[in-house]
Amino acid sequence: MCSAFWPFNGAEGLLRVLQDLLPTDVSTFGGDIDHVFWLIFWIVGIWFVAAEGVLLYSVIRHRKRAGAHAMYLPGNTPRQLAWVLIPALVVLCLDLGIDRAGASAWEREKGTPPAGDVVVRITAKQFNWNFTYPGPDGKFGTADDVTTENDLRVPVGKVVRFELQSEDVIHSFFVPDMRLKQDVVPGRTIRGWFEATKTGTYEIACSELCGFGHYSMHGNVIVQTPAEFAGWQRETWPSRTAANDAVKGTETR
Amino acid sequence: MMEVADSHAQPAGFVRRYVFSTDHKVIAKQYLLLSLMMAVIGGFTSYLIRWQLAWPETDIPGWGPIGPDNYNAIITMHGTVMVFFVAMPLLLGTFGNYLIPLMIGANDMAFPRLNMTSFWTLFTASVVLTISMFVPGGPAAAGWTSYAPLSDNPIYTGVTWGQNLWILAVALEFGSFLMGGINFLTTTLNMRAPGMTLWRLPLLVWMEITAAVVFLLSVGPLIAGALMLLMDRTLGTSFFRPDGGGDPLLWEHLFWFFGHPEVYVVALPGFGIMLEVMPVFARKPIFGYRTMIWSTLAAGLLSFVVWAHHMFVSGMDPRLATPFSVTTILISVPFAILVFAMIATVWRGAIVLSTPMLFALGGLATFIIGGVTEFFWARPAPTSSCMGPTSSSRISTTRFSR
Repeated sequence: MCSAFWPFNGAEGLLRVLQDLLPTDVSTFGGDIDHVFWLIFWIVGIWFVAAEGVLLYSVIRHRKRAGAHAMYLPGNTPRQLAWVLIPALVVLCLDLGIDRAGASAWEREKGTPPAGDVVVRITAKQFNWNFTYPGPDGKFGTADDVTTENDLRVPVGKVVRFELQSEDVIHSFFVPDMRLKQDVVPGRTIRGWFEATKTGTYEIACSELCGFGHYSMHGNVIVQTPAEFAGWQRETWPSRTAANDAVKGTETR
Repeated sequence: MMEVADSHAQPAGFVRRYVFSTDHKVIAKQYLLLSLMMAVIGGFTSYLIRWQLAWPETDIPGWGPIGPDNYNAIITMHGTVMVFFVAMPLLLGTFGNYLIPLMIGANDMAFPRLNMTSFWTLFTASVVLTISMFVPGGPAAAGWTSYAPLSDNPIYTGVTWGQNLWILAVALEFGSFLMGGINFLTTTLNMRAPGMTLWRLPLLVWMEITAAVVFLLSVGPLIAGALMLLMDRTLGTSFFRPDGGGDPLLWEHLFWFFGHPEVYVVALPGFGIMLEVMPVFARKPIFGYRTMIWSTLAAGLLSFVVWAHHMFVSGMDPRLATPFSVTTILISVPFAILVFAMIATVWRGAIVLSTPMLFALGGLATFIIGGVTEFFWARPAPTSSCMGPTSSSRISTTRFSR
């Protein structure tokens, strides 16, 4: 099937190339979003080919030739207008279908988040991502908080709830592999969630122009097995008793 | 009628005739010249951006290497220049001024001196913007959307006068097109030749005045916003500064309430030109003239209630995304009608592939691409996975790359 005109390995080859356009999804809600993406892709893809095809056909077929006359077609009777209005009506119906499919995907990602297994506060600043875990006591703002820079460690298969805060300008928390994007606005706390489905390291890229270091504002989501995550917690988080002692000392965030 | 009587008498002096002229045709050519000069700046910045993307951090011939802060300034200038100082003067200023009086049978614009003032305000704005590129602290580097607080507080970018002058230039540009829009509208409504009813107006005139009305009604909030931003920067107010009780999202709303209609302000005149060219070289009348006008008006009206589709993930209440994406998707219906009617206009014609016709057909083919990609950006969920709020600049680029 490979040829100069069809560089793919059959129809399946084309589909595989298309699927590789998006990074593999590693979140629970990413599948819904990809579904909407492909739904729109095929609907508008068909319309695109049809509209350009009709236009191209007309431009080639209806060129001025000797003896041929243009057809008088002012399009001011309902009968003639139907050629335009009926396709537009079909567009309207497809619109509503896309709206329906899109709304549920959106509601799942941005609506009320499910109960969280891990809670983390994400603080964006020029040009870093800081991740603060509440520590063993489960509360932010106490001495046993654990803060990491640019590396967000989370267990696989657990709901992670996050709060986004910015110290200076607007940033945007974007994890392409999870289809997750949320602007971080100074003066607000914006809540959200995700659940990773696969272990690995995934890029966080700031996707709102935030100053001269915007290009370098990267981070990683490191998705670990629950055992690995618990191991990391044991190594780096203060123990419960140590935490209690620390509370008496200076409060550091 | 006094004006009409002497408007064809040529003023004697060179300055009155070619520089501070009140003749709509001379002013149109001035707009053309100015926009082409600004297009040199816009095009050069585009060259710098492309070179940097292709061969990062190498010496760019005619410029030298560019660092991250220069890069931000360059994309800011590119967006500002292309949208406000090339597309608008070319499509509204040039074609509107030249063609509206000729097409409706008027001697000149309704307010010739206002027309002249409008051009020279734009000229001043262009000079201010050009100066802003050379002041200490560098040019504005907060993007053409200038989101606060990045644009609001100099400590975040290090840009001081560059950003102030950017705001001033853009505000002057808006003032200029406000005057121009009033002129377009008054001329078209009051100065048509006898027998030239509204339902006989050439489609280009319909497109130009719809664009003018959309611009008039949407730009007010942004002029206010620009003044507030300037006050934040110079007088110590905090409209957009959270530490003083302001809200950065307010700027985004004010910007996009204008920013989205702006897409149609520059799109509609382009359609108008295509719709004048196609019937001529297809040897056919326009298909569905009235239907096209109603669709254009519907699109103009809908353009006021879609702005938050630039802000799906901005931090606004996510429930707002649903109504805004529904209106955005609905706007595809009038545009679909326009596209289908354009195809029907060339259908079974006797098409002459002259240069203008090739441009018009190319414009239509390109607009179909711009139109179908709109769907991805109209839905919040896929938007969140592939696009940021700068999408509109890409859409407009796609649409007007002709």
